[in-house]
Amino acid sequence: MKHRAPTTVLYFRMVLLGLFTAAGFGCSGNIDPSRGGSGGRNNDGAGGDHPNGGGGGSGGEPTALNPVNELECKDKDPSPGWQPLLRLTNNQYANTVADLFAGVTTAPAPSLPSENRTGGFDTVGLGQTASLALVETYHDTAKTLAAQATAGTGLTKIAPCAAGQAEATCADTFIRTFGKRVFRRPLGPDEITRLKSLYTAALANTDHRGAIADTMTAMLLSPQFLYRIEPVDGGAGTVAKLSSHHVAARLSYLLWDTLPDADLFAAADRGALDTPEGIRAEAERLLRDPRAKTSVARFHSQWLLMSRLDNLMKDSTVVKEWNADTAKSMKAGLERFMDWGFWDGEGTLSSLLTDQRAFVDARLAPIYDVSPPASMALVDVGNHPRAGLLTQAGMLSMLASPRADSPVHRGVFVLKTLLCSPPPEAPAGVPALEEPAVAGEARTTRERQVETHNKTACIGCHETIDGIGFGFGNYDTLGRFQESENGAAIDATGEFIGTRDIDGQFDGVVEMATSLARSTQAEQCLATQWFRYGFGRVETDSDACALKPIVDTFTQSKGDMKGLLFALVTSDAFRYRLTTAPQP
Amino acid sequence: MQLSPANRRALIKTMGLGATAGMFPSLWSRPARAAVAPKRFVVFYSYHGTQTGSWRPKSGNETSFELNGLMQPYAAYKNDLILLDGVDSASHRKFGGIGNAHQQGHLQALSSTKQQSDSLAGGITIDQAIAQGMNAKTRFPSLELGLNDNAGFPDYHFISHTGAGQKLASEADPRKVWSRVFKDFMPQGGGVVDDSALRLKARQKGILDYVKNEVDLQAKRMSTEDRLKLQAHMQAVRDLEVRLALDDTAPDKPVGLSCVTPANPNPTGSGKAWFDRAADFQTQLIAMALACDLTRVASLNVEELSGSVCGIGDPHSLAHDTSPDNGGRRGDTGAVAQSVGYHLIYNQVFGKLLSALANIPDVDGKRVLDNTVVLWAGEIALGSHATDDYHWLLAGSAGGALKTGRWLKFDPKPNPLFNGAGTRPTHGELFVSIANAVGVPMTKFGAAEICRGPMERL
Repeated sequence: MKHRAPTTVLYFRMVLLGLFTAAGFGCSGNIDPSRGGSGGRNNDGAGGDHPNGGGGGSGGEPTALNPVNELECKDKDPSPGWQPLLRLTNNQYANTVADLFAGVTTAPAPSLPSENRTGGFDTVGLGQTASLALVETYHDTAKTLAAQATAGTGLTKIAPCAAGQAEATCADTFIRTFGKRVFRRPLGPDEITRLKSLYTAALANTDHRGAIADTMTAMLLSPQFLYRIEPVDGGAGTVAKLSSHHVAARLSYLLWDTLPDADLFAAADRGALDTPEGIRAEAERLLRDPRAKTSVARFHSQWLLMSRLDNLMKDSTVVKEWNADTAKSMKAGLERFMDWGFWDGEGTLSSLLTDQRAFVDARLAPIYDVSPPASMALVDVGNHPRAGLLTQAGMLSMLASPRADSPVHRGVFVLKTLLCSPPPEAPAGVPALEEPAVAGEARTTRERQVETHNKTACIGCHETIDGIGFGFGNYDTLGRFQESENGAAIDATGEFIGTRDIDGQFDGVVEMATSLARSTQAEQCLATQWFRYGFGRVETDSDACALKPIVDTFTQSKGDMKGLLFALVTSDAFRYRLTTAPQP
Repeated sequence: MQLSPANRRALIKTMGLGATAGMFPSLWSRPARAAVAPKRFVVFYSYHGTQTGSWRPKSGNETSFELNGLMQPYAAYKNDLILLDGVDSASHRKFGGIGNAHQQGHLQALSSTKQQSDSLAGGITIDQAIAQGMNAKTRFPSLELGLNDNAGFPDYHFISHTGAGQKLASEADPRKVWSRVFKDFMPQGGGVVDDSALRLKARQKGILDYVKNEVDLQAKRMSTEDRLKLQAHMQAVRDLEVRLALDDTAPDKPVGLSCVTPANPNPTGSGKAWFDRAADFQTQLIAMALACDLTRVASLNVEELSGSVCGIGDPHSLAHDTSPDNGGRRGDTGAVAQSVGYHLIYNQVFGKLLSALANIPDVDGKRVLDNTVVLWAGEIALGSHATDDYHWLLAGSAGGALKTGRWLKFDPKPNPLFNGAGTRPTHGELFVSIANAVGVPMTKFGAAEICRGPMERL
């Protein structure tokens, strides 16, 4: 079938432009919000500073959310968008080699070089460059595993050979069976021939055992293993359906971050993944496995840049309660809240944004002003106003400066991470907001900030950022509730400006969260973040009709997060691919 | 004192790598072999610019000046330095940038060209261009090291690119660097070449020949962007062949007399204690990798110092607030002193690097430093994010190709490439001169329109 480019691109861009204009982003100056709060380094960003780094909007980096619901994708032909080549992420590689040799041998976790993270996600293919250091590690790992797996009786497990059977026959069987797991699909006849040649040539210098080890090493260094290569048939510029095995690999890497298990291979073998229903059945099975929990947690961690808590610093002269263990509890509490929200709670985005509970332990109890549980437990923290994710101690601490709260970091977080509408970068040469005085500070953060921003051209952008950020004024640098700051009463009124569906004033985070919880834009944003993570690409104009059904399903389901995953894996984008890249 | 190689190794092991000055005294006593030393290039990279008030000599002229406070940790090497006071970061002003000022700097400072995105450079960086230009077939085309505290080795900044959009990560854990570079290395001329070694080599070659063929076959079927990705993979496989000495075109290793396997690093503690120890190891590993001719290009990416290293909760804000061009907001002496203290840590590491390079004799009897050019670069010039006048440093003369012991103060006015009237050189021009000095012919680097040729006065 012929690929149809979306005909609505022009309109699409105009809507996008309108979004920015309405938001008042004609800014010429603002505070630099370019760093993670509190001096914590953003180690997920791989070159992207935070909170609004990575939102620059060119070169394939994430841009403002495309208002896909304005699009009409009437054509019945599948519209998968262009899927660039992905390499296994470091985590996928480590999981995959561990699973390939499970029950045979184990090797130390491979020490791979740091990977680029476009848009915060390790799965995104852009910038995945192989280096010598990377290939060395692949090589060392493959050699070690092959030597271990073929040593002693290991050989009979991984490459069984019946008594009296010719070794060449056993090698052939090994190439077909082990190769299928390594390449995640049955090998083509040419591939088998080339591997057999390697095996045969190796016999000139070693025995059967050594030749099997060499063949195994070669497989583990093959691009068919290290990259997610998905060949499809069809003429240039057409859309083709992925084979059941490629769908199986997509499914297992998305939901388990590793290769398909035996059942998933079996499902692929019988063609059960050729239909959305078949895919959904397997997805449901995979989601019941603990590995899915780990994968969803990975997404949450990268989406919210939780690693900032690993290096978080507070000024101990002002925040005497601070220590590294507090940060560990905060991170654990945040992770567990997200897990709980996805799996055990209502499972909706709105509940994540509004629930008044939090995971609390003895270290977090004083922050939430509740009595400490024996160990970390889900506790109602509604004794003070709380709103789910937004008021988790971990989030509020990450999004704060070492001494005080930070309306800018918090405002940018909501705009960029929850609404996919990042404000522009601060221009060069603009100083950071001055820290409050250690002693004798008589102003609230808001007052200090308004003094700075109102003086200059900053207001153009900061009206939008601060309008949201000021709503968090009741939470200090640790996320403790405060009604006054430095003796001055806190004004936590704020305003959404330039959003697509929740513009208007609110008083405090709970009201803000209520608005976000009913926002279609927020739902579209989360669906888009999952799209980026799941497909390893940042959406472009040509993805509009690939993204739309996924986003629509999510919004129509009132933000059902598991449903979003099912929509993702049964979408055209998941089941089909373009045979050739669209011309730019 | 004459020591056998084994005894030298034992000595070095006993001394530990922490002892910097006078680290390998015994090595000097060996008569130097008349040999031509290879030229090398090292990038030292720091964050948040500098404090010019403590960087720039307080008075003097090009050849007669006193080093200011920040340079005291390597005052002993004053005659090896060239202070580059005001290099024009031309690409920023020519092309603007994508992302915040730090991202722009990380991606443009060493590439001198327009960015591809906010996390990818638009072209090759000078270290990689020199490595490719040298094509030395050393075991490693280049080595990328980092330095940080030991809280997870985030390495989130990547300073090197092998081409547009192609990043190289730096390794901040000295233990991993040692394993990679020295674990299987035999400094005294390699292992015994017997039949079994030849057989192993043939098998290894068979595997990598298969891999190259597979990469080639897959790449042929791909679209342009995807093919580029596999081509980068192919290059890495070829580099691995050299590293494993499977490439027949690779020359025999010229092993310097001073080449020994350094002790396996064992940094302990955390925060600043770890950092200091790791800095000793990383600088020594670079120096020995160069001395052993395992590579001729290296970088040390000293990350933004974490709070546990510098004792400052938010170095970024401090750098901003104390920037000399920021109108003195928080320009109180306490805050400036704190910021100078932050930068002093980088300068101390730089001092360790220079003494490591100066304390190992090269194959020609000179110091390794003498045959090297070290460039100290960074993403921005000042904490304010200003980038138009980098205060960078060179150390080492590349075997006399550069005249050292100089303070080059450049025209404060931007150069004519930006409709200005001044003569200030651009970073691309500096890179051309460095490349030429280390024996890589080059007339332009990065974006041609902001590079007139080699840097004047250098």
